[in-house]
Amino acid sequence: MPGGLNSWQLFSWYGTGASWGHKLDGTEITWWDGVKRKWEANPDNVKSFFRTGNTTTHNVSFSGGGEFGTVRVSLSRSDNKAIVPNSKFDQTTVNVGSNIDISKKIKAEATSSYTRFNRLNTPNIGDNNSWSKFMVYGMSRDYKNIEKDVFRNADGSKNMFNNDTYPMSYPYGGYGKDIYWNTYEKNTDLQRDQLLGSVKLTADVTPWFNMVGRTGIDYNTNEFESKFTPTDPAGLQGEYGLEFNKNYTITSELIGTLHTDRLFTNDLTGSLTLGGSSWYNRYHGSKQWNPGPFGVPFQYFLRNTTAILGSDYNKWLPEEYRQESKINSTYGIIDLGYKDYLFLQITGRNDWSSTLPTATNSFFYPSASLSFVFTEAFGMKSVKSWLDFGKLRVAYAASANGTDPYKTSYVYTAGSFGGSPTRTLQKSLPPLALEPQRSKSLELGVQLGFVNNRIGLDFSYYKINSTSQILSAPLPVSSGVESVTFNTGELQNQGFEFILRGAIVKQNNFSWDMTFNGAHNKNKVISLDEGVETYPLGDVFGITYGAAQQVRVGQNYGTIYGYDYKIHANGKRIVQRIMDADGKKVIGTKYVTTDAPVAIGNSTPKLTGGFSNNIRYKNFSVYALIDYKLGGQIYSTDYAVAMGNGLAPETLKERNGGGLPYTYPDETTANHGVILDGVFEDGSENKDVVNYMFKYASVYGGWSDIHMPRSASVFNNSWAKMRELSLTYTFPKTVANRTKVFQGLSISAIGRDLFYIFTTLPDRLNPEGVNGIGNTQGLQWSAFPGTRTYGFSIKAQL
Amino acid sequence: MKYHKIIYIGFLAAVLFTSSCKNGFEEINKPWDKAVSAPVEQLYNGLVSTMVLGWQEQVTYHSWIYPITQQAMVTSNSGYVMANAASELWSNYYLALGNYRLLEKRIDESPDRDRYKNLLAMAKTVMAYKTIKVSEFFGDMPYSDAGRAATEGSSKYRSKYDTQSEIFKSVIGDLKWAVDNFDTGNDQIAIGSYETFLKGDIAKWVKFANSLRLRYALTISGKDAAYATPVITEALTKPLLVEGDDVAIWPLSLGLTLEGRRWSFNSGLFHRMGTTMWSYMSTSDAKDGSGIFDPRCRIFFEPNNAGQWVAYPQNPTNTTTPEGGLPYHNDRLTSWSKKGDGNIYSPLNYYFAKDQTTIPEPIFTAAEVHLLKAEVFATGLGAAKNMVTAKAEYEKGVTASVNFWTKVAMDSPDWVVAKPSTLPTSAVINTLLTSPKIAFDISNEANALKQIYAQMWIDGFRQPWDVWALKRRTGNLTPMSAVNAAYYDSNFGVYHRFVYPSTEPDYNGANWRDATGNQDLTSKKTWLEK
Repeated sequence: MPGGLNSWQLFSWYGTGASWGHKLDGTEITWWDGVKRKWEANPDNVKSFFRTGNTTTHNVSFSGGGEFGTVRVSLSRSDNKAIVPNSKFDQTTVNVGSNIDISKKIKAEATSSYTRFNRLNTPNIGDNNSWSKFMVYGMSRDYKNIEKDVFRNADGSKNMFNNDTYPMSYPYGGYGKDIYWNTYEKNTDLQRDQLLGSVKLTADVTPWFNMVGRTGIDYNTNEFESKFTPTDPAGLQGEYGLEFNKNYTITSELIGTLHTDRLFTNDLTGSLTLGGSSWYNRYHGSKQWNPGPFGVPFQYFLRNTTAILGSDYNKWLPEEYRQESKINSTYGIIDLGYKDYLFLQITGRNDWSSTLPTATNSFFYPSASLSFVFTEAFGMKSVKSWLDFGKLRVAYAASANGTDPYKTSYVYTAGSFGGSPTRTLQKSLPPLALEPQRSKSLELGVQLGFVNNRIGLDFSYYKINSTSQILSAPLPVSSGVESVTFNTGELQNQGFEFILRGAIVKQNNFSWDMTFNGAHNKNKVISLDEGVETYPLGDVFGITYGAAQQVRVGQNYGTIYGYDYKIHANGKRIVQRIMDADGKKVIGTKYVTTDAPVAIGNSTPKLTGGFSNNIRYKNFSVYALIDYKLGGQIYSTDYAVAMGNGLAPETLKERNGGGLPYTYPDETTANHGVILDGVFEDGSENKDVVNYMFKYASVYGGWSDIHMPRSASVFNNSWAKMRELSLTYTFPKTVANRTKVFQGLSISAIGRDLFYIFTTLPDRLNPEGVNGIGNTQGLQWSAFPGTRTYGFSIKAQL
Repeated sequence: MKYHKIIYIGFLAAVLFTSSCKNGFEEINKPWDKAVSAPVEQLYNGLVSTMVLGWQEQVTYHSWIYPITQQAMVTSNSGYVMANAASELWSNYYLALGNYRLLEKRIDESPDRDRYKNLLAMAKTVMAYKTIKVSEFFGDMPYSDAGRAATEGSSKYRSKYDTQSEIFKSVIGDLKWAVDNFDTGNDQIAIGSYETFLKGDIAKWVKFANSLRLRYALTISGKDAAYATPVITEALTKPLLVEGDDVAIWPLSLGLTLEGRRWSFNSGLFHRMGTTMWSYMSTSDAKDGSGIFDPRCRIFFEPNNAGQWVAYPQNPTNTTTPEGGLPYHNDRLTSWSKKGDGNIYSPLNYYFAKDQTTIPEPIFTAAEVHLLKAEVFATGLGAAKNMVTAKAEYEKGVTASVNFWTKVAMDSPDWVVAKPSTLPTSAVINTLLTSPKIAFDISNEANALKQIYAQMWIDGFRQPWDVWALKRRTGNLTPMSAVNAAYYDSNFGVYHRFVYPSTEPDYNGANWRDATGNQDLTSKKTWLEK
C-alpha cells in the first residue's frame, strides 16, 4: 500500500477473486498459461461449470383382487443427472403388497419393497476446492475457464498447475486448481440396497374386542467405493477406499382394543386400547483407505500399495463405527365420543430406552385431546345458511425420548505415543447424569366450514415447552475443554398456522379451488445450564471473523450477531483516520466498529406459507403454487465478499469516474474519491476524500481479522416465488378407449421453481441460499444457485 | 375356545414383554470403542504427546517467525495467517492443561500420592515448558483458573487472565518444586514405558527442569532482576543439561513420523536463507561457498538450483530479483537436485523435510545452557561477572551447537548429499571461534553479549519460538540487518505477539476485555519485551 502498510493490515485477507484491476476493455494480454487473450467481460464464467440436469421417473403398478383378498405390485425407476458434472443417481423400487382374508375374523396384510439406489458423487459444497466457494470467493471477474480443458494432461495424469508448467504462476491457487480433477477423477460410488417388509395380523376376536399384531423390518446396506485416479502418468499415485455398513431396524407391536358403540347410554361410544411395542436398531460399518502409491498401476484394491507403513500405519487401519439401541414401550389409549360432537382421547405411554442410565431409563408421558363440533352440538340452525361446520379442539401432549447410544459412561479418548497408550479427556464435557428429554405441548384449534363447506378455515395455535434438552455449547478452550453438553436445556416454541380453502367455482366443466396457508413460529431459550451463556446456532467464519447466530437465555432464536458500526452520541457512524506506516500521513478513513459483536439483524420471518390455485376447465387443469416468506433478515457473506473484492456491480461507480476528485500519491488524479458518511470521535463531520477502496474493501469482506461493520451486508429477505405451475390434459375416456389399450390417459407439463415474483435482496442473491434448513436461517454463504425445473408427465391406466 | 387362546397368548406375551423391558440394556449401551478409565501414567503420556510441534505452528515459523527473528527470510507471502497457528497452539496448550489438572487431582487424591512425586514433577516440568512457550506468544493469559472445567465444574468455565509476570513466577516456582522433589529413591512409583519423554532418567529430569528455570529466570531478568537473580544463582548450583543431554522430540526413539514438518516446508513454500544469517556464517558472498566458515551453514541451508550459495536480502527492495522454483516440493524426495529453474536463492535444507523419522524437534540443547551461562557471567546477573568464564562458556556453547547439528545430519539416514561423516575437527571449530565476527569480544561486554545472543539465535534455528522470545526480551539484541531496515520495521518489526484466538472474545468475552481493553493487537508488546 502507498505509505508502507500492507493491504492485509487495512483490508484483511481477501480471496483470489479480488477484482480491482483496470477496466475489462478488450486489451490483449498474456494469460497465466502463456496464451494471449482478450481482457474482457466474461458474463458466463460462473455458469461454465454447470450443465443442465434432468430427472426421469417411470412407474408401473398393478392391482387386483378376489375372494381371498387383494394384491398390489408396482415398479418404479427414476434417473437423475445433477447440474454439476459427473454426478448422478438412479433408484429402482419394487413393491409387493397383499391383503389376505385368512378367515372371517382374521386378516393378514403383508408388504415388502426392495430398493436399489446408485449414486455417483455428491457435489462438493463450501470447501476450498468447490465451485460453490470458487464462484463467490476465488473467481475474479476476468476469469476464463481454462482449467476444464487442461486439468488432465494428455497422458491422463493430473495437471498440477505448478510453476514448472506455468512460469507465470497459476493465479487461483488452492481455490481453483483441483476443482475439475476432483470432480472427474475422484469418484465415489454409493450402492444402497434396502429391503422393507411388514406383516400385520388383525383378529376380530369378539364384536367388542380385536387384536392387532404387527412386525416390520428395515434392512439396508450401503457400499461406498472410492477410486481416485492416479495423478501420475505411471498410474501409481492413486487412492482407493471401500466402506460398508448395514442398518437394521425391527419393530414389533401387539395391540388389543375393547370397543363399544354404546357405553352406558346410546349417546356414548368408547374404546380402550392397550399395547406394547419394541424398537431395535443396529448400525454397523467399517471403512478402509489405501492412500497409495499403488503397486499395480491403475488398479483399485485395498492392498495395492508399495508404501512402507512405519509409524503412520494408523491411516491404513480400517475404521469401524456402530450404534445399537432399543426402546420398549407399553401404552394405553382411551377414546370417548358423545353424540358425534364431543370427542375425548386420553393416552399414556411408558418407554424404556437403552440409551439412558438405569435410574432414568423408564419414563412415562401422557396426552389428552378434546374436540367439540359446536355447530352439531348447538344445532345452530339460525346460522346454517353461512356456517356449516365449526369445531374447536384443545390438546395437550407430552413426549419424551432418550439420546444417542453410549452416552451413559464417562469415557476418555485413547491413543498412543512412543509405543505406549495415552488417555485424554474428551474435548466436550459430557452431562453428569442423563435423563429423558421431554416436551409438553398445548394446541388450540378451530376448524370452520362456510357456504356449503366451499370455504374452509383451519387455524391452530401451539406452544411447546421442551425440557431436559441435551444441548451443546462451546466454552473457551482455556477452560480445558472446547464445549459442554448438558441435559438441562429448556426451549419454547410457539406459533400459529392457518389454512384457508375455497372452492370458488364448482361446476361440471369448470372448477377453481384455492388454498392460502401461513405459519409463524418463535423459538425461545428458557434456560441453558449453569455457566453457559450462549447457545450457538451457526456461523460463517465465527462471530469474530464473520457473523453468527446464537441465543442467550430469555432470547428468541433468530438474532444475527457480528461487529457493527460504532455510533456517536449524535447518532452518526464514527470514522477514524488511517495513518501510513510512519504514523505521519493520512492515507484513508475507516469505520470504527463496536467493541464486541452485537445484534445486527434477525432472521425470524413474520409469515411463511403458500398460495395455490387449481383451475379445471373441461379436460384441462392448471395448478399454480406460489410460496412466500415475509420478513426475516439474512447476513449475506456472498454479498460481503462481492463488495469487498470488487465483484459487485455497485463497486464500479467510482471506478467508472463517478466519485469525487481524488489525488493519488504519485500526483495523478481521478474521480475515484469517496467520503465515508460519519463523524470523528469528537463529533466533527468527516470530510476526508479517500480512495474508493476504503468504501468497499474496508467495510465488506468474508473472513476478516479486521473488524468490519457486518450490518452493511444484512438485508430483509422477503420474497414470493412461483414454486410450481402445471398444465394437465386428461384425454376423454372415449379417446382413451379407442386405443384399446388404455382406460385413462393424461399428460402434464410441469415447471417448478420458475421465478421470484419479488425479492428484497440486491444483486440477484439467492433468497433461499441460506445455510442449511435448521436453526441457522439468517446466514448465507457459498450456496449453489437455485435451479429451475421443467418437465412433463404421462399417466396411463390400463 | 380358539379366541380365548389368542387372548391368553396375547396377555402372556404382554406380561413377558413388560417384565423384560430393560433386559440387556446395559450390555447394549456399553461403550465399545472408548476407554472408561484413565490411569495416571496414561494421562501423563498423553501430556507428553502434546509436545510435538503442530502443523500450522511450523508453517507459521517458516512464513512469519523466521523473517521476524531474521533467522531466514521469505521471498513472498505464503498467505498463511498467524491466527491459524495461534489457534492451534492455544488449543494444544489448554486441552493439555485440562488433562494436567486431572492428573494433578488424581495424584492428590491417591493414597500413593507421595510415591507419585516423580510423576507429578515430570508433569509439572512438561507443563512449565508448555505454559511459558504459549505465554511468550500471547503475553497475559488465563492460567491459574484455566483448564479446570472438567475437574471443578461450571465455576471454571471462564477464567480470568493472569499477567505474564505472574505466570513466569508461578512456573519458575513449579520448576523449583520439581527440581527439589525429583527423587531417585526406590519408593517412587516408576511408570516404565509410559515415560516416553526422558525414558525415566530422573537425573536428566532434574537437569531439564533446572535448565528451564535458568532460561526463564534470564528471560524475565530484564524486567524483574530482583526476582530473577536469586533464581539464577540457585539454578547454577544445581545440575544443568550437558553435552549429550539435549532435550528434544526425538522421532526415532518415539517411533514417530513427523509429517507436519514436511508439510510445513511445502506449504510455507517461500522461506529461504536470508542475508542476516548468511553474514554470520560466511565471510563473503562467494557463490561457490568458499567463504563459509560455520559448518552449520551447510546443515541448515543448501545451494540453489544452480548449486550456488545465494542469500535473499533480509530487507528486499523493488530491484531484488524475484524467486521462483519449488525447492520443497515432494518431487525432491525422488529427484534431489530438482529445485526448479526459478530457484536462485538458497533454500533451507530439504533434508529437514525429507527426514521425518530421525531429525529431532529441539526443546533445550546443551549448547543453549552454555550460552545462557555465558550470558550470566557476562552480565553478572546471578553470579559474579567474569568475562573469562563467559568466553569459555560461549565457546563451549558454539562448539556444542556445531557438534549437535553435525550429529543430527550424520544420524539421518535420508541425508546423502553434503552429509558430514565426522564431527568437525578442532581446526574447523577453531577457525569458527576465531573468525572475526564470532571471536568472543572479551574487551567489549556489550558486543560480547550480542555475540552470545547471536549464537543462541543460530543454535535455535529450529526453535524460532524461543529465539523470538530472546529477541524481544533482549530488546532486539539478536542479529538484525541494518540495510534498508525500514522494510523490516513496517513488515515484520510490527509484530510483537499473537492475537488471542477468536474463542476468547467469543466465549470468554468479559475476561478477554478486562485483559485487552478491546485492543488485542499483534503490535502490543508483552510484559517480557524490553
